Amino acid sequence: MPALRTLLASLVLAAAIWLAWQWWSDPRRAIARRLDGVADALSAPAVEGQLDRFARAARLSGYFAPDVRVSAGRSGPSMASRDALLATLAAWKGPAGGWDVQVADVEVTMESVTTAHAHMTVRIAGVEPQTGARSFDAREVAARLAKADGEWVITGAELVETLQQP
Amino acid sequence: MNSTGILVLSRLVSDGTPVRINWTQRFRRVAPCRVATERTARPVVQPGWTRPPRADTRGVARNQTGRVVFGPHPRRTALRAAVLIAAVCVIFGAVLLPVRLVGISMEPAYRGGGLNFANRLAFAWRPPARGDVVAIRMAGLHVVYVKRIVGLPGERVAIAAGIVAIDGKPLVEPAVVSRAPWSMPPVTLAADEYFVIGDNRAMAMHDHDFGRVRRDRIVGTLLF
Repeated sequence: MPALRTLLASLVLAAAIWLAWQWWSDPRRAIARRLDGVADALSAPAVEGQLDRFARAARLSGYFAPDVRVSAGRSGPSMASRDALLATLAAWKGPAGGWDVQVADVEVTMESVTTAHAHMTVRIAGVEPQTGARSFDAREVAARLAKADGEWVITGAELVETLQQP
Repeated sequence: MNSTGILVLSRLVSDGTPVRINWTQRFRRVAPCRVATERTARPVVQPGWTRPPRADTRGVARNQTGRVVFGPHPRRTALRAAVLIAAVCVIFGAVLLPVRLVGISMEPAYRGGGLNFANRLAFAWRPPARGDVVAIRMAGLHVVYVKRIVGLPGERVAIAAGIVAIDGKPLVEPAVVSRAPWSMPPVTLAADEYFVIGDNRAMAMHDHDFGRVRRDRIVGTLLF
């Protein structure tokens, strides 16, 4: 009986370790973490110096492929390189009180071992320091990712029109 | 005999005066508490009596081992709590979606900051109808649009001078108080499409999210 118990405990332990490893090494989890990192790098505090802004831009560049293609819908701008995207983001004037970007409802589909597709809702919340009014916006985004040098980078992103206007 | 009985009996032996027994311990098939004398110190077992004695302790109490128990019947209380938790999980997981309203696009009927619920079973037995205020999911349910349905599948929707027209006829919208001169060319909805728009037409058109939405994106209708 003790031998059976030991065997049973070993099997349970092995199964638990296998499950934990599966969970830990799941590329979908790594991609979700990367997207959280992008959102974090896109967020800006209320007071941000020039150096902080450069540091944030440098962090952001690590999340995108050099030839990333971004489309902001039918009426929005389109960019075909990482430099153009970073320049657009740097020029963007958000709420003066800073803004917080978060991703929610991330659904990752693996296309191959090194390519994936992610569908998510991006939330942007900000505060106007003078009025204290909170602003909130959310957009649906579809992104393509590829694994390069061991890290997942965004190779393409486009806004999804939840409500389609003619 | 349990410890309470021994305690009471020892008190009876010590001074001989009757005491009122408070049977906090649970007994099955026993009579209610009564004034105890030397002869009636033990609980009287009556066949067919199934209701346990009502204890004076209600709510949180400690039993004789010092363990915290909830109510006179901890098992029943635990069962009730489990049923309650399961009901809450089912209701908020599959039936009601809590919605905190943000923004001004549905004013004046719905103001920002208000809490509401989307009934996810609303369209289980009937299709969405014109005038329904619905929640529309984005990538998931963490963020939803709240809009009013104005156009139904197959209809032709247009906006001219702020007036919504359905198949060429102006739509009467009691929820809309004031209108800016919005304009939108006619669009014919597909078989699974609805046209949704907010009540606040006084705001600028480009600041207002509205348009066609597929049926499978409509989560449910707002409760109130």
